[in-house]
This record gives sequence, C-alpha cells and structure tokens, in this order.
Amino acid sequence: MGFDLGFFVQQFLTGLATASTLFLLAVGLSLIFGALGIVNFAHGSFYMLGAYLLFWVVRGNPEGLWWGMAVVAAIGLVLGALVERIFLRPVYPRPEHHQILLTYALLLVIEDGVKILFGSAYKSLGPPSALSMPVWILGAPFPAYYLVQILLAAAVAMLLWLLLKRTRVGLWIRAVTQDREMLEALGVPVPRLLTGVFALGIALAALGGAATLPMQTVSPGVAVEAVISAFIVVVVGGLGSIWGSLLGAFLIGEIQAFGVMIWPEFSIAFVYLLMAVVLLVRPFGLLGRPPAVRT
Amino acid sequence: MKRFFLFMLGLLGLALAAEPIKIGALYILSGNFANYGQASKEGASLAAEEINAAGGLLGRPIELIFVDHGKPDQAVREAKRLILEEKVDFLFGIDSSSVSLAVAPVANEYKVPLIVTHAATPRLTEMCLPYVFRTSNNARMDSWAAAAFAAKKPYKRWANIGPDYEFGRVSWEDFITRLRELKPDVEVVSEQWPKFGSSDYSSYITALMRARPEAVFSSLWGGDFVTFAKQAIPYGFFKSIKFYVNPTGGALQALEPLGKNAPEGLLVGTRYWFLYPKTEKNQAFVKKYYEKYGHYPSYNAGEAYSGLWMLAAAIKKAGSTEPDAVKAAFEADGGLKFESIEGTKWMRPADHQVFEDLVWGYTKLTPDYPFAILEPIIVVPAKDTIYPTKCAK
Amino acid sequence: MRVWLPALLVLLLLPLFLPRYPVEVLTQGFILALFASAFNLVFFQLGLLSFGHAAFFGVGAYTAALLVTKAGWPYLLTLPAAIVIAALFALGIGFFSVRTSRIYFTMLTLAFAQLLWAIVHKWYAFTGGDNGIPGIPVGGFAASATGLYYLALFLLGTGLYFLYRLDRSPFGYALRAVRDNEARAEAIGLSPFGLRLSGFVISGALAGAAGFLQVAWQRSAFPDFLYWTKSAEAIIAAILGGSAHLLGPTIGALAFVELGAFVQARTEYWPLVLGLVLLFLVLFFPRGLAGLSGRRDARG
Repeated sequence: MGFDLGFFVQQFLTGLATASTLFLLAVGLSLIFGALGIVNFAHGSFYMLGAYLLFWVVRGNPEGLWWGMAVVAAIGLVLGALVERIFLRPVYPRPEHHQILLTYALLLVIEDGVKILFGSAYKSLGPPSALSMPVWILGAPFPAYYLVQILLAAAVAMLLWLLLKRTRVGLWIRAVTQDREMLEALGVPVPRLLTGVFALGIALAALGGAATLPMQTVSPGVAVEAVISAFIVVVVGGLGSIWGSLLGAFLIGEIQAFGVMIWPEFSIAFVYLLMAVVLLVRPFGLLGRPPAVRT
Repeated sequence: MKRFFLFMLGLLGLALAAEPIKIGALYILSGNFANYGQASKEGASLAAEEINAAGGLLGRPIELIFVDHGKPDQAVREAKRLILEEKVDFLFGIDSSSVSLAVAPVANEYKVPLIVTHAATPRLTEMCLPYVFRTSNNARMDSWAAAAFAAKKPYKRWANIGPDYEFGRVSWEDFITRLRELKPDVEVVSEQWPKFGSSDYSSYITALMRARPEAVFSSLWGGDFVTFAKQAIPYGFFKSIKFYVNPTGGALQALEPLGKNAPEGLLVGTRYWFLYPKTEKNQAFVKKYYEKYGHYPSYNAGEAYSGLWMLAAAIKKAGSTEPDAVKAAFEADGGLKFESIEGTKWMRPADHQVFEDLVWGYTKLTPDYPFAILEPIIVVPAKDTIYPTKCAK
Repeated sequence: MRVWLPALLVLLLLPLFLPRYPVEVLTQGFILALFASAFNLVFFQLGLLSFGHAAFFGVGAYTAALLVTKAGWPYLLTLPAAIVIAALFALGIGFFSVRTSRIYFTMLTLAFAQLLWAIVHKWYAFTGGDNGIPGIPVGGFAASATGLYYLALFLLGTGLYFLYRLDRSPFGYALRAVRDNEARAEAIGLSPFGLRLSGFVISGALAGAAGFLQVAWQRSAFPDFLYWTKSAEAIIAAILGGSAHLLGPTIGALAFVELGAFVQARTEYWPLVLGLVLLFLVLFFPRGLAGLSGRRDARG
C-alpha cells in the first residue's frame, strides 16, 4: 500500500484535535504555576466542572453550545477568583507541600461535589447539527466539530500571546513570574493580579472541558485523568511557558495519533515514555527555563 | 413451671426467628462506574423489599448492607469487615472482575457464600471455590454467543477494538478462538486496545478504518462505548463496516446517554433487557422498578434482583442459611433451576456458574423511548453457550 | 520523645483485647506508616516530592508474591528479596531522577512509576496482568491476623529506629545540607548526586518492605499497587501527620487508615470527607497532626 496522503492528513488532524483539548487544559496550569508558583492539582477538576456546567446550562440542546461555552468561561473566571481568594491566598507564604495538599483536597471535594450535584451517570451532549457531519479532506472523513476545537485552541493561543506580549497586564504577568516583590515595590497591585491570573487559568480549563462535551462524555472520574494529562503536557513543554504548553500538547496529540499505528500494544504507555525521554534530555521541559530564584 | 419454661422457649424462638438474614452487598458506588453499582443496589433493594413483604425467608427478614467496593484492597478490607464485624450470612454483588478475584478466596476461606451478580471474568468460576456462586452470565458465554452470530455471516475480515485489560482481552480471545472453530476462513486485520476509561478514541477509530474490516467485534462498555460511538459516528465509522457486534452494548447505562444519537443496526447483547421476555412477571418488575426509581432497570438491576431471588430460593430449598446447606441446595438435583424475570436460570453444580438464555438485538430508534431499543430481539439458547469447565464434580 | 514508649506498649497489648477486624485495620495502618515514612525520607531529608514511590511498594509486593506463587518460597523468606529488588529499582529510577529537582523530579518519578505500572498491567504471562496475583498462600507466623500485626509493627519499629539513627548521623546531616544549599554543600566536598541517590535507594528499600507486608494482608497483589494513587496515599499520610517529625508519617498513616475504614463503612463519599478534613487541617493546622503537640516545625 503506497503512502496514503488522505489518511496521513486525517491522522495528523486527529492528533491536532487531541492537542487542542490538551492545550486548553494545560495552558491554565502552566500560567498558574508560572505566576503563582502553585501546582494546581485541582486543575482537572475545573476542566471537568466546565463540562458539567455546559451540560447543565444548555439543558440538552446542542444548538446552545456557543453561548453555553461563553457562560461557562465566565463562571470559570468567577469561580477561579473565589477559590484563589478563599483557599489559596492563606497558603502563599507556606511551604509548597501545603499548597499541594490544599489543591489535592479541592480535587477530592469537587469530585464528590459533582457526584452529589449531577449524579454519577455519564453526561453527554451531541454536537450542533451543523457540525455533526464529517468534512471530507483528501478523500478521508474528519469530524467537523474537531476543526472547531482546533480553531478554538489556536484562537486562545493567539489571544494569550497578544495579552502577554502586547499589553501592560501581560507585562506584569510575565514580571510576576520573575520577581514578585519587586513588582509590588513598583506599585503594581500584585494580589489582584494573582487572583486574575488564577481566574484566567481556571476559566481556560473550564472552557476546555466544556469544548470536549459534544464529542466525549463526562463523569466524576474525569478530573483525575485530566490533571495527570495536564501535568504531562506542561512538564514536557516546560512549566510557565505558553509556547511550551502548545508544543507539549502538539507532541502528545501526534504521538497518540501515530503511535497507535506503530505500536498499538503499548498505547497506554506512550505519554509516560515521552515524558521520561524529554525530562532525561531536557530536565526542565522542552521550552522551560530553570525556575527563577525566589527572594 | 413447665408453662413458664415453654413460654421462655417461645420467646427465644421468636427472638431467633426475627433475627435478620444479613447480606453484605459489595458494588461500585463511587467513581466512573458508580451508576452500574447504583442500579444493582436498586434491583437488590427491590427484591429484598418484596421478600420481606411476603414474610421474609424462613420467617426472618433480609437485611442488605451496601458497601462501595472500590479497588481490590478496599474491597478485601470491606469484605472482612462485613464478615467479622457485621457477621453477614452471605456476600453478594461485585462489579469489577479483579475485585471479584480478590474477594472470592477471602469469602471462601471464611466459609461465607459469595453470590456474584455482575463480575464477568470466567476465571472466577474456574477457581472452583466451593462457596462462590455466580447467578449472571459471564464474558465467555457472551463471546461464544457473539461468535455464533458471526459464524452465520459471510464476513471474513474481522477487527477488534476493546479496552486494554483482562475483560477486553479475554472477551476477544474467547470470541476469535470460537469463531475460528466455527468458521476457519476468518482473518484478523486489526486489533486496537485503547486504555480502559479512555476519553479519546479518534486515533483508534481511524486506524481501525484504515485496515478496512468488514466486521468489528468490540467489548468497550459503559462510558467507553458511549464516547467511542460519539466519536466514531462523525468519522462515518459505522457506515464503513458491514457488521458490528458488542456483547455489552445493550446496557441502558450506554444507550440512555447516547439517546437519539445512537447508531442503528448494531448487534448488541445485554445480560438482561427490560423489554424481554414479555411475561407478566417481568413486566410487573419493570413497572414496579420504574415507579420506584424513575428510570428503567438496566441489566445490573435485573441481575441483582434475580440473583437475590435465586439465593432466596436456595435458602428456602435448604431450609436454613448454613453455608453447606445452601451450597447443597444450589448443587442438588443436577443444579438449581430458578424461574427468574429473565427466564430459567440453571446453576451448573461443577463450577457454580448459572446458564440462561442470552438476549441480543439490533439497535433501533423508536418514538416510544428516548433511547435506542433492541429490535429485533434474538435469543441465544442457554445450551449453545455451555462451555466445558475444569472443575470436578 | 517520651510519648512513644507508652504508645508502643499500648500497641503491643492491643491484639489481646481487640477483635480481629480492628486488628486488621491497624495492621493496614502500620503498613502505610512504613510506606509513608519511607517516602518521607526523600521528602524531608532530601526536599524532593516523589510521586512514584508506589513503584517500589509494588515491586516489593510483586517480588514477594511471585516468589511465593511461582518459586514456592515460604512467605517470610521473601522479605530480604523484596527489599533488595525494590532497592535495585530505586537505584535505576533514582539514577535518572535525582539529577532533576522540584516539579520535574516529581513528574519524572511519576513517569517511571506509571511506565512500570503499564508493564505490570500488561504482562499477563509473568505478573498476571490486571488480574493480579490472587489467592497467595501465606504460611507461618504471618498467616494469622495477630501474627501479621506483630510482624508489621516490628518492621515499622525497625524502620523507624533506622530512620531515627539516620536522621542523627553524619549521613543525615549531609543529606539536609544538600537539601538546604546544594552549592555550599558541594563547596565543602559533599556529592549531592551520590547522597541523593543513596537516600533514594534506602527509601525505596523500606517501601519495598511495606509492599511485602501488604501481600500478606491482602493475600493478593494487583497492578494498582504501582499506580500513582498509591503514591498519593503515602504523600497525604506524611503531610497529614507532619513531615518534619519522625513519627509524623506514622501518625498520619494511622489516622488516614482509621478514618478511611470508618468513613467508607458508612458512606460512599469518602473523597468528600477526606477532602474536607485535609482542607480544614491545611488551613487551620498547618503543622499536621504531629504538630498539634506543639513541636516546632524544623522546615522553614
């Protein structure tokens, strides 16, 4: 069988769709770690919550997807801000492992929380009718909705880049990853900035989760798997680096897509293998830098 | 004096008679598959209610103690607690195959009979433990039934997509081995093994389609099946193959979330289907269940309900709750035959595995239900699924 | 630390008064205590959060399980093998991991442990795959609940004493020197890599001993002994009890197991209860349960 371009493109795009979900999930984690220095174990929980909230908000109507996602993102911002103020601020001065325990505790609470609120059955939603037919690319079918996810991730990446590189707030965010005290000394309202960054990270996770609902299901166990995936992406790409998250997501998405062809037996181990290899060669991730010395 | 003595004896008898028969029921009640355990809990509770309303068993009420079995170490600990602290007379339930394999030897060691109503690994009964019984059918019978269907079709190019753990692997092995016996010219063109509980099947779907199979066997179940179907439809997967068979695809826990998006024409099996058989007994059960819980009984509910009733029948036949008496009741007369809502359940004395007619059907959307139902229904007679056992008798 | 002596006496006498089930739960607590203390060696003395310690626990367990079921060894004899094999795996994984630090170390240890889990999960011929190794015959002293209780208590006590001596030894000081200021430690002639690796290997060996005990308790071995949620148990226990205190992980482990057994018997919402308890403790009792006694937290 000769080289089938249509199939190759199909697999490549499939990998991109996976990467899009991973990027939305992981970029918030990376931002939060970069700016706040917090390893957010509950990140996957907000991703999962985003999916549940979308399900609840649109009440089974797939056409409501667009405004539903906007609502979920807004809820994510508010929720993130609240969590940061109430739970995270008290533990900033504490050693790292307290923060880890705190975010892990949030993971546990949210996991059972959604079970109580929504029940334990899988929740599912179809894609909007305009997007439920395949798109034909070089003779191979490809789900139209996946293209939307890819575009969404690209748009988010673009907007984040603009925010970080072209706005003053973005400058502050980049600065706070380097030297928080100096920034405060310069009169920047750092506590509010940190709240904002955390809220943004959570909103991105929630949006990512909501975006997957038309093609996947959500159940209380999703959070745990998601946070592990998020960590892998972020670590492979390099903590604190947006481009790193993009690169990490891309690599993992494509490895999943093509690895299944090459070594189907061991597909459950690919990501861990990739992570181990990357960390052995570049201990701070592909695009990461050694952590700044915190004064 | 004599009257007083008799009176005390009577009181004692009454006290003993009122003492409940305690049954420790271990099901998954948290995490991803909690709705399966929840359905079993509902079915078993309904059965217990009915039994108690009719006067209990041997004059004693049944008391069900439900416990979340979780992972094997938690399950073993809970089983021990039920046996040692709650002093249960029987253990019941178990969703996860690996948990059943961990708990069965423990129950056996303590001589507390374990009645399994869901866990489907054939290995459980092949351990030949004297105090372990299974009242539901297992994965090998499902695979043999699927192979029987497959052998009648003209398709030669077969592929598999299943969850990468024992259930998925053994289901496929049993299926393809049996199919090759019945139809030697089949060819396996692809095997895909996504992680159990995976959320993204896209690359497996495209890889599967690339191999251009005519027919696909799949043991993806529960949420995995739903996610897979949702992702496969937009790839045109179901249109690209001629035949799709899945032994657990007929579970309501999968069909309900798919709703009107379910692909039609898939041949799926289920261990109990609420619309079959159309007997009074079954319809009464479905009506009662729906009124009490607000949804239709899935196979877990049906099997838990029937399982408890079958245990009750064995206890009645034994006239006691003594483990050896109940064991003998299950084994006597060529193996206990029980008329359940699903039909006749027969327990093979050698390995304590129940055999019954298996319900399969093609998925079809109808206006009567918000989810796909099975139509037409095809029944695989029990005798076609009886495989040899290595347990002696 | 005079409080531990009467506590030890009580623990020694408990099996004489308690029914079997509470004895079994306590034994499970001792096993987790040993595992958490092993983890804490790396966490406290080296300042590294390992998310892959379940690998060593699992390797110790499977070594014992396989030797008993496939080679017919008597159970008690497998202890040295479990310790040595776990130590070897710690040597291999540690060799690559201790060169990194902080979150990267954590993720690398996670990656290795998950890879190991995947291998065990799939290698049906050798490890039994995801079916695990059920029905393991445990003979001799450890076959009874009381016997296993004392064995677990003995191993825990030995492990803790060993860690106590290590903490006060030059080796322990060297480890903490590397933890606190690697550059300075190197300047005075210490080798951070060698020291970290040694600490990691010792930690792995102790975790393997805990795995050995688990096999007797459960009479089976399953791949989820190596899954990251098992590592998380040790982490929670250590932090819950207070990682700066030698007995912290032990106290945390016993609390975790007892609370877990209590809650899981009554409700399916154990994650919620655990989460709320942890939130409460972190926000209001940051020094952990051991810190409740008022001992100062040595770590800044």
